[in-house]
Amino acid sequence: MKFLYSWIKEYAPNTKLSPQEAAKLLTFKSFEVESVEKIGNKDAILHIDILPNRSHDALSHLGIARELALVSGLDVSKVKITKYPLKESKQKTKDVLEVEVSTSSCPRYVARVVKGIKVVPSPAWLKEKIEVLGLNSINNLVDATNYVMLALGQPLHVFDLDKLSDSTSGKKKIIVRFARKGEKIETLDDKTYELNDQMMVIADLKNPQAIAGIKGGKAAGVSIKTKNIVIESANFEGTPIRKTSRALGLRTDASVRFEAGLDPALANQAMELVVGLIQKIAGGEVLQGQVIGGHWVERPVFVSVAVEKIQKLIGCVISEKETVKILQNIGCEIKKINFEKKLNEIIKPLLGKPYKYGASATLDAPNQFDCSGFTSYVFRKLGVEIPRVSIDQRFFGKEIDKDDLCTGDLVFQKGGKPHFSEKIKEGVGHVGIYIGGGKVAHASGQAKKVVVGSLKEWFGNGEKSFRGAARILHDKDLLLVKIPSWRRDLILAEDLVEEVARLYGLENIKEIMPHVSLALPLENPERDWNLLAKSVLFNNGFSEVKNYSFIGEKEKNILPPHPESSVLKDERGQYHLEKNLQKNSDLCAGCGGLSDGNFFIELANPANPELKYLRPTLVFGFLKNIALNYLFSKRLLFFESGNTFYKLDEKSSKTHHAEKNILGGAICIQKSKDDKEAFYELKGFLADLLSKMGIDDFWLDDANPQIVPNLNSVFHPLRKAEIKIGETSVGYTGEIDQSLLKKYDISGRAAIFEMDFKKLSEIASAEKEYVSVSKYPSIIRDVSLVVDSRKKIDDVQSLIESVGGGLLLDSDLFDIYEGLPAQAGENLESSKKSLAFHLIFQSSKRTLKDEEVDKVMNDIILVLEKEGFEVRKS
Amino acid sequence: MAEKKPKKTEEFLLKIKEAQEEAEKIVNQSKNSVQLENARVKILGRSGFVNEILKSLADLSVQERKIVGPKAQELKSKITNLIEDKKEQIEKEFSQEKLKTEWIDVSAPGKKIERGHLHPLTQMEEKISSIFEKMGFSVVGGPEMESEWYNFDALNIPKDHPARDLWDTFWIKRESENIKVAGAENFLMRTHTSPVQVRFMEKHQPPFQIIAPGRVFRFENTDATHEVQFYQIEGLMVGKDVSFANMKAVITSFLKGVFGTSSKTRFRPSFFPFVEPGVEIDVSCFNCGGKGCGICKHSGWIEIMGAGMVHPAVFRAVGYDTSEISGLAFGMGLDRLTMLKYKIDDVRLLYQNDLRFLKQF
Repeated sequence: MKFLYSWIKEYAPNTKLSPQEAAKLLTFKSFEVESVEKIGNKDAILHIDILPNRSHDALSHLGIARELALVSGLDVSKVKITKYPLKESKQKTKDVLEVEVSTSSCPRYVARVVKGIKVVPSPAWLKEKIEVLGLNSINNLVDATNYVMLALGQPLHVFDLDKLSDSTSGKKKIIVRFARKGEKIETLDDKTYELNDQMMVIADLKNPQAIAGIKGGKAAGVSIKTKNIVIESANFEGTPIRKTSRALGLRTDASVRFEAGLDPALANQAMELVVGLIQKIAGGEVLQGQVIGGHWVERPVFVSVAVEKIQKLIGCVISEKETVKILQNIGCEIKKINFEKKLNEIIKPLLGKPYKYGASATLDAPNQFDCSGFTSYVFRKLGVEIPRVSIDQRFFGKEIDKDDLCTGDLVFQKGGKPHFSEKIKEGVGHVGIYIGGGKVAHASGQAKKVVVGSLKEWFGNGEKSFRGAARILHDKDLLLVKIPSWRRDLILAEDLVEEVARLYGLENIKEIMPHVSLALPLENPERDWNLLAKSVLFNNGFSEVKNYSFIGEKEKNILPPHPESSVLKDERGQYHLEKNLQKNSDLCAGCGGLSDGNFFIELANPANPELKYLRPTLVFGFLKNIALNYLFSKRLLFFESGNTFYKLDEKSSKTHHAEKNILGGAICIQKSKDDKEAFYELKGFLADLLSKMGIDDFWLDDANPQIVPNLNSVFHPLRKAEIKIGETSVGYTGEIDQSLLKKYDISGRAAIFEMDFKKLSEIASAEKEYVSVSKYPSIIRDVSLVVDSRKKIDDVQSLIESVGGGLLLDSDLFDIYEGLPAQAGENLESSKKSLAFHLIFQSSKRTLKDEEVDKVMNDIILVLEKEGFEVRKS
Repeated sequence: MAEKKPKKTEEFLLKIKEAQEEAEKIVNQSKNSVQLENARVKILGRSGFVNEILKSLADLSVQERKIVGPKAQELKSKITNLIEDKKEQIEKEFSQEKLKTEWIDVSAPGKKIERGHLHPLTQMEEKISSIFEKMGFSVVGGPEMESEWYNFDALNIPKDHPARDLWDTFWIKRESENIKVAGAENFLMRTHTSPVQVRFMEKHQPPFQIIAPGRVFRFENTDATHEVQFYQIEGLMVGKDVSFANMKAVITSFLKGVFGTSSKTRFRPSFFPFVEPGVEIDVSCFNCGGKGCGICKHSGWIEIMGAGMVHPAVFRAVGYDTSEISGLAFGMGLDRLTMLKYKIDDVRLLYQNDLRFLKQF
């Protein structure tokens, strides 16, 4: 908000600071002054970013004047507003106007009537002030109310008295009420709003004339012809104003201030200031007295705090004297109290007061109480706000053993109408205060009044069963601080700590490094492995991307709710594409068996349609990355480590959604002789990654890939598999479907993998064990064979290794050649492939003889031939 | 007494002398290894003239042989050595010649190694995490999709409180708007990493010190300084006597770790609902050292993070005894730090994943 420096100084005349000096002090002790804008020679506008917890008092020149006094080391009592002399006529306001407040959301409504005013342009001084601060000068009435709002922070409103409907008594009547559903109002800016029963209005007997605390209505608005006016200075609770403002999409200078929760006492001050100003600049006859509505009664607020607590929390010895001085400067009144003594002083006059179940701790106290109303009233007087209900009081304080009871501890019983909770299933329904000497003060439902009973009775049976004790105040010597009414943000001891710290000067608090015991950090294998994985991938040429956590309708539509196709294997090991064969059954287990198959989590308020759903996979991000970078490189390698989200079946799961930490990798090769290159290259990188994570026994299972959630349609139907470690599935890999690539204008081949990183890190192992190297020479033999092109290499190799036995140290596929239709002449049918392995034989005990190896080789060849493979002897 | 040598002996000795002269001449005239080999064949080959002399020794008498034999053998080894030396010399000359043709352009590029890149945000996150880890903090995490309770209520940000306006929130669409199941929570995309504090405290007892880096979300229109997602690092330290003075020390040390030991730190009052007192922290501009430049908007200072002492309502929400313990908390935006460090002027670049951008890190 903008503030005029000369105006601030008008209220705080004792400060001698230049605008720049003031800006600096305010920034380091109060609020950030974003800029100082010079106005003429002497004056300046300060742009100050008022903190949200201070909007109720500091969105005003008075509030900033108080802060300026404080940061200059002065006392706020020196800050004064200049009032205008007021002459009241003999006619009484109450004879002309009635106010009816029918809701507790309006604690205070102050109204005055001025007759015979003249609506004219404002005098120059007023016009200038209003305009320099960025408001439009309208006329003397509107400007006067805006002036007072800028001065004190209290929004005001003016109605044309003559436009309000007449009542039978001949008086005008203002009613503060909630709107009726469907009621409409046209506001001053010619817009019409439809209201509902959650919205407060200021109405005459017929119609709403203003949306309370937000905007005035056109019907009873002030015009040039206006002669007689009603001035409103009201206090509305923040929450309903905020809700209405949000619902209507209508934020005004007034609503912003009311939302912050203004001091009800301000309504009166603002009224007196504005009515004097209006009389001065618009003339007219001010009727005698105010008409007041609302339930508000001024009640002092106390906060108690121990000096040691302030020192301990700040970590700096600020003396009691200095602490008290700072708090007094703020406007607080301070009494040093002894907790036990003060407790007795408070309780004594309350003894004998009647018991009333459900008595209000604010409205009925101190004349009637129920048990918890009594305790909360006593502690409020002691400067601590505690919950209103006994069971909540039980858990608000620190739990105390009954043998450790001290004066002032709350003691609990089951009571007649106990409340129950998870924490205390036996229920709590009665509370009293232990006042020492084996005695308990409590508002008793049985005795029907506040009494002192014996602690022994407190440990009885049935309703008198003991339900524990709780300590609210821990220090005996306290400062009982009476908070000035305009500082509604000061509620807790910690709030006072902040005031002391900032006004003492944050720069004066010496840095002290904390002392902690040496300890190992908490284990976080997921993070440690993640760092390793990232470094492996980036060292292998992958670039890390960070994509949006959201996807749009376009991507969602790529994934059908049910699997379109699944791959099945027949008896002969042939694979087929089957349309919807297992519709809605186990293949959809991944999407949690959701009845509509829709596993997408949708945002209620997406920023735009492209960011509407939470991503269930990293795939779409990769596709965008490939499409974007496609022109710059023929080979693209990306990885991303990020979270994915999808819905789970509500019935089968306690949580309704899954959030997974996924590590994904993608490769795109634009032109390659072998269309399988992308898949195999990625598989190679995957093997390297897993091996560096200590996992050597991973394999790809394409028998019936469970891709969770159901991303089947993303992949080439015959080039996808689950990534398994032993029998545990950790993710999936596959080549991206060609038609999907086309949608992203990508040609060539692309493959991706995604792994559940939490699962993976649980399996990963840093353990390595040395296996001694044999001293004896090895013998290498080769075997090459021709097999069916769909025979799995894994199977062939396992067969060789199982026959090879202990002497076969390793088998290594060094050549693979697949028959192509065009090259049919090369002695290999297109349905066949030839494989060649190096077989390495070695013993750790002796030098092998050729005859031994020959024998094993013969066995291997025999078995391979028995399988129907054509073994080529070399 | 001079013994008269027989005539044949004289002849032989002369022959040997002539042969040696001839051989030396031929060898010395050889210019390359081919010529030298021809010379060797001509001299020492099967029908070479030195070999011929050796063969013809057989015609001599024993006495003559005694005199001539050693001389002939001496001739052979002399010539052999001569050829060896000449061979070495030729080879040396040759290799020197050859080296002269083997000049390479050292300025030509080396073999291209395909290298990947770590995202700048990852690098910054690691830098910051490692500084805190060295100070004894543990790194923890939490979900990005959160409940309203963890993101707001437990952090002293009640429903319908104006403080909620500080965070524009992406809400998750409810399954069915009509069902009002008791305890059915509202979910959202976390607006800050602070919920991790609450989740951690629910499961651990003080003393401890943690940081929580992670992705957060705000409902915003994107522009050069605003994104719908960004990264934060949250810190929390709770113990028996944790104080504001401790908070100042921890944060000052951390910022020296990031910006160098000569950097300065200053604290200003601020407001965050989950701390009391709350502060905002500026660090002296790392670019100009505090003199004022474009990066610090000519103030010499850069606003870098928020911090404060944990609000008792937060401790209450997790069941801690507020009379016994206190805590400090802090948080900062990684994107902003990364942008400052690398002088990146548009936050959207961090999520576009253009290789021409990523390759620079």
